[in-house]
Amino acid sequence: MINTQNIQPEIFQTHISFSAHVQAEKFRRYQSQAIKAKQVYLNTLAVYVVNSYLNLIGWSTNLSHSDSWNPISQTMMNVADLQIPGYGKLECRPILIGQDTVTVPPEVCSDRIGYLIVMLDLDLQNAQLVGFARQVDLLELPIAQLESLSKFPTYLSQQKRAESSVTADLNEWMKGALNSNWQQLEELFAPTVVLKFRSKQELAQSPASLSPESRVKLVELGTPPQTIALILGIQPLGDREFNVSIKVSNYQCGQYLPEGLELVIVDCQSHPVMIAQANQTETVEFCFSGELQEKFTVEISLESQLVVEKFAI
Amino acid sequence: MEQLLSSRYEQQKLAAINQIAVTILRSRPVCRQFNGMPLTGVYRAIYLQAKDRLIDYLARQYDLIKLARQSGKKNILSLKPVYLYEVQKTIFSEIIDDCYLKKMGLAAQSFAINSELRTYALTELIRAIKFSGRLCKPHLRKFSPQLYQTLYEEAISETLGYICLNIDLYDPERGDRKFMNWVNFKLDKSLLKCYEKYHRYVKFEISSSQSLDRLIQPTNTPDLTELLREYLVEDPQGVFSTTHIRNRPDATFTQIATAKFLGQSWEQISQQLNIPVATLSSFYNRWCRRFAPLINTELRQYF
Repeated sequence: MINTQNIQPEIFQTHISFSAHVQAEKFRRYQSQAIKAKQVYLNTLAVYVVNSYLNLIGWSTNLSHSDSWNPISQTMMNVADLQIPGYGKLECRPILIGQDTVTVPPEVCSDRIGYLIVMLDLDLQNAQLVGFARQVDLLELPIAQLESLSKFPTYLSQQKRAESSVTADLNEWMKGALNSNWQQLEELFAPTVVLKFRSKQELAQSPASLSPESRVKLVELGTPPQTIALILGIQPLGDREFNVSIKVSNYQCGQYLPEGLELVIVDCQSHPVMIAQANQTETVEFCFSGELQEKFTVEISLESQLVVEKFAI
Repeated sequence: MEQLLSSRYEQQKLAAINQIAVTILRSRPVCRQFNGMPLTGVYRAIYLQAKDRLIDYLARQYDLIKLARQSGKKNILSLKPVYLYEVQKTIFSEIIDDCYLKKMGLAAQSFAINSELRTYALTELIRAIKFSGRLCKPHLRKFSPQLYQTLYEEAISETLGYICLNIDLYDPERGDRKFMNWVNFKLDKSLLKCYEKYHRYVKFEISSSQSLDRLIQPTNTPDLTELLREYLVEDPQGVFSTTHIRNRPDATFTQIATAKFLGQSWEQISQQLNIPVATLSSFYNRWCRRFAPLINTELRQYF
């Protein structure tokens, strides 16, 4: 008998290990509803199999930072993600042998670099990676439309993210350090606009060393895309205390922000502390004070799109 | 003249055998091409050696068949593709020695992490290790054959995963300069670790998809769905019930989450609230992610 695995290298077949079942069983035990419990069990096996496959082609993963490995997230969502550091989340959807479509739950339709489909036999002894999808437009995805696994490593290696998650050091900004991701206001706006942000009075009152430092970053959001300006200002109040202002407005002067745009400030413990939503507004602005070395994150989101910026004072 | 004829015949024979060998090797188990590019380095060396052996083998078969024909035997052995595939597998397993494996390991090291070439090199390496028959069977007599089978499979998969993730740690000067010493050392330790794990969880039943439909939750673990539902409704920080879909103060995070926990589908919730599934799910998604650290901190004691 010719082993098909040897002739068709694009198919990855594997025995589902005892450890995979142990992990799936541990997670299953948190659930009392049969449907949910089964979902968690199968999702865990799928993620486990994909993790083994990725490791075997030399890719390291971060299971413990994946929602699929967190009992709370498993309870809240039908999720089978796998974090690949520096690349993003891969969704590993299980199907049972004989099914010819994969159901992709709406809660995993965004924020994924791809979808790998894992076919499990009914005894849950063997698994096969049957292919992948770059993104999903339909909640029911026919197996026949999947791309071959042989194309997957190439696709994956192209998904490396630009390191946007670098923490911007605001203290450095005040010392005048330039940052390639953030521009000074003067570079982007005509002087009249700049004056709106820093009134003459303000400039006159504050001594040179205490003047506010403002920088701007442009992001594209919405369909069709609109250019949104995220403006961050920082001004020292004392030795260790600072005023921080965060402002979001449409780059096109006088235009409203896209409806439903959310601005969220997340504190160093990852708790959302300030939330605002644009509703026929030109600008959303938050001001707060923070201490030296305090960290916070700014998130701007619109429907499923998300921009995340990290800061340290 | 006769000599010339036979030499031309000999050349044709060799060319034909060469062609057959190349054809057979198209389905070779290891040292396949990377993106259709010509083989280089260690992969080419193994391929060429396998080809030579296969040609020798085919030439011998040719002579045997010729002899059989001459002696009037009708029962001539026919070389079926499946048989030839086995022959080539045997040839590869004979050729791949520790020296080749070491070169394949070093080749994998030379390619950048997460590059296509590293993926290729590791896939070839793993296949070659399996073909070489050089994986040891540690602690074989300590366990029953059935248990050993389970542990061994598990240990092999752990070991190979470790080798691929940590190929950069491979030092050709260590382990008596044998590549497989590195692999087998890890395999030995893995097997014992697998046994420990097996021992600890032997009471766990291995579920099938059918048995999962019948299983009920053991009473000694908390039901997270219920805990979560209570926590979201209680909402000590007042964040879940104040977060809602735009212009819909009634469609709060608590409301949507509890509906999900009751087992309602997105379509059902969508109909009840008259909000499209896409809006609901992207709102829910976003806030699940944002609230996750808070909820994890609050409910940590239960899982």
